[in-house]
Amino acid sequence: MTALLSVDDLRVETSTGRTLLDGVSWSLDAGGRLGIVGESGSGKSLTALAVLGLLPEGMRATGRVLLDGTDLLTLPPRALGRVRGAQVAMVFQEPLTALDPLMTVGRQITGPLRLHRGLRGSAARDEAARLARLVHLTDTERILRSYPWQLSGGQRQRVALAMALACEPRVLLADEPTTALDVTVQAEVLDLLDDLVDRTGVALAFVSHDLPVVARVARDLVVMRDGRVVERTTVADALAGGEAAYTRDLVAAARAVTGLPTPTRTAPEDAR
Amino acid sequence: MRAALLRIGTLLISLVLASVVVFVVLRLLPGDSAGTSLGVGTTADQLEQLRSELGTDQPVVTQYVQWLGQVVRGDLGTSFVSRLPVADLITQKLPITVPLSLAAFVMAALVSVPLGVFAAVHRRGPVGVAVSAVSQLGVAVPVFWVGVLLVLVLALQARLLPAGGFPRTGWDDPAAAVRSLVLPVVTVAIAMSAVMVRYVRSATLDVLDQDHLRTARSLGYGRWHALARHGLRGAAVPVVSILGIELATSLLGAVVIENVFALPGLGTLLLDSVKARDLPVVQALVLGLTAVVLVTNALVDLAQRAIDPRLRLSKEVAA
Amino acid sequence: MTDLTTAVPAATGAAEPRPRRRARRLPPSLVVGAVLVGLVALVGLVSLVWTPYALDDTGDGARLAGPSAAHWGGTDRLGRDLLSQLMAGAGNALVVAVASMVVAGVLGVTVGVLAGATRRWVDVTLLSAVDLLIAFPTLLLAMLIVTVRGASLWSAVWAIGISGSAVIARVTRVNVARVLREDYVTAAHAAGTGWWGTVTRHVVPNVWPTLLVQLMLLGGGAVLAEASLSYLGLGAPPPQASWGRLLQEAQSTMLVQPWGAILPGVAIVVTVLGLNLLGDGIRERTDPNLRGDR
Repeated sequence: MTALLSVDDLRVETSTGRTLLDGVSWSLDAGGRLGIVGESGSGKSLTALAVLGLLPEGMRATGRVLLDGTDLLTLPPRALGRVRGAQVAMVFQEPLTALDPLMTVGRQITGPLRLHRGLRGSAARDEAARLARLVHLTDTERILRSYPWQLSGGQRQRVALAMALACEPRVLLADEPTTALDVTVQAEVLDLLDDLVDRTGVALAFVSHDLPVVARVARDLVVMRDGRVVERTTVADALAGGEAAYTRDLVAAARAVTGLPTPTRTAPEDAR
Repeated sequence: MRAALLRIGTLLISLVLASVVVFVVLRLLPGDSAGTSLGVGTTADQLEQLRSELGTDQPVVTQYVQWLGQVVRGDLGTSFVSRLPVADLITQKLPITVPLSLAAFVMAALVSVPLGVFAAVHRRGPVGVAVSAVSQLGVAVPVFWVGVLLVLVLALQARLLPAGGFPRTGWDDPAAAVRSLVLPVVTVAIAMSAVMVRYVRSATLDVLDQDHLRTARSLGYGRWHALARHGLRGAAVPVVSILGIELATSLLGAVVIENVFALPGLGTLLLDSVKARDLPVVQALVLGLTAVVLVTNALVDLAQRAIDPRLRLSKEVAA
Repeated sequence: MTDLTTAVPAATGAAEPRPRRRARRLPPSLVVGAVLVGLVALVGLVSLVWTPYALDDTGDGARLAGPSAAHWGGTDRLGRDLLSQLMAGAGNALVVAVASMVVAGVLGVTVGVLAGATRRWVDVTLLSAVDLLIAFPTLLLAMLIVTVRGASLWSAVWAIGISGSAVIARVTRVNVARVLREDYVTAAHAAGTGWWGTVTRHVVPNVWPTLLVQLMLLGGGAVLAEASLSYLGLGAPPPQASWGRLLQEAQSTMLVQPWGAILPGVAIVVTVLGLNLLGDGIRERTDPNLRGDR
């Protein structure tokens, strides 16, 4: 089975020649759920940004990022723009800054609808309302008229999810989407994400430093450290004791702090 | 709406305070303005007459209230030197100073806003680097020196434009009037652009760093499309404020530059009056120019409120 | 599962893969700024004891001469040596810059600390005064003061210093208030440190780099403002040399001797640019959050 999205020997270097990512490879099948875990600075977020060609200025990516056999790294800007949001969408860590404070939530959600699906006017508004309900926002009329800073953290991240899913992408990159949230809200958003992946069939790449969080939504697991992939495994195998020593350290540390699910829990769907 | 009224209220208070400051500085600092304005050889009678004319024989508060009452009614007093009503003197000069500063402002804004945005987007490109270097140098250049150099090169050596002065016929001969204003306008515009480009560039850089611009790009918007949709509005808040400051600067730049080009405008009038210690004229001009600055600031605040819902809505919640 | 907290992979003592490489090198703007300012200061100091010719020396009568071996900058319409005038002008600019910084610094810091570290009504009152002062253009304040006190170096210094103190006061107030809200200050307070102790031990060290930057920029602004005032004839009166007035005097004869109109301008630009760069450089050096490309 060919993968939907595969990252092949991805390297990222700064203009000064420092290597930030060194030979990162993983793949994501249609409808798959991949967790990418590692400490801060391990390059996991950078990987997600590199997939979409959104690296900070001065960084350069080499290698291949294949979406259905098309290399995104060599795609011209215009064609890449048609992939972003429509085929591959992304949710970021801090929903307050990721949303434009000067624009109502409604207009921000209808933006990609118009850009990729050509919806405008009442059709776009109706679709935005549907998306808002999809991400379990209540009182959608009021929320669509609000500005991001008038909403709670959980509401903001739901809005960000609605924007990302607006054009029914095939891949959703989630970069620490729950890290900035309160613990209770975190659980709600994880449940929602889990549910959305089930319902829409979008393939999920979930980036987090937080192994227990990854374990709730992901099935496959990539463990990263210092810009390299330490181990590619499944969540279940990792919890049962990964092959790499570093993976075992991560699991042990997480277990010591939080009481990670026992090794018998394999399917993340059970987590609810 | 309520916030707007509140802002107009604070504007009125600032105007009154500014008038107090101008009044107090001119009346109470050491040196009797009546004595100094008449100069040596003044008889006691003349001095007395002038004092009662000025009202300086009355209590300060009474003087102030009387003066403010006159100002509000449009009576700015009479010049010591020319014996003409100050209001008339000022009105005569407006057709030079107002076009000069407005044209310079518009020209500077038209150049600096696009250039600043472009320099920020291509901050590492040749244009970006050149713009920041030139503007760093430009803010260190005194406006009158720009004028002097332009006169030297374009008026005295190339003889393209008049080196100074304003046609006696005024705006009856529009071509001559415009020709005599070209160099002054360009001078003030150059000096202002150096400052404005820096602000626009740094405001745009701040916007470019913001996460929501990256979000927009992750949704498929191109670089310029994302900037137009999400960035410019955000950059507009600081840019409006610098435009406001620079509108005031253009007026003051005009005051200085009129003296370089021997233009008989408000600036020349102000300078002559300061040197002659023509108190009523200085008082009226300083208050008038300050009022323009304060009103501009208030307009800037209101404009920012219109652009940024955070200012608008949070203030109203607080009110 | 609501008890999830952040998992810390504590078992690994791995070094951060992206260590923050703090530049050991001084920022170029700091170096260039310091050199330019140092140069002007040196020339200004030398001019106090020695100039190639006396300032009122009309010499051998060569008027409006171009640069020569005897007169490196040429001579003015009275035959006075331009270079000597320029050197004395440096001294004048230096006095203006330093005196304005002192006036603005003393006034601004006092007001700022009072506003930031005392009662709320003091804060509100002082801030509205500061706001009004910021809106009041330096040039107009200078003209008011000159109208009353007459044109002099000190009229200019007072006007520039008072105007500049508004910005210093605002910067001081913001930073003082910010530092006082920091947890470590609260902790120090809880540990029994008094108000004065807090201010000297925590507030001053945190605020002075920002203030130094503002003072440098103010110094640049002061040199520019004084040049404008003396160009307009509202600065130091004739026996004292001033770049602005030199320029004004040379303007009418610049078709014959352009150097008289060019060199004073260059001197002003060099000084102001130096002070601005010095300010930027200090900011880059002391503000860890600032990226180098601004």
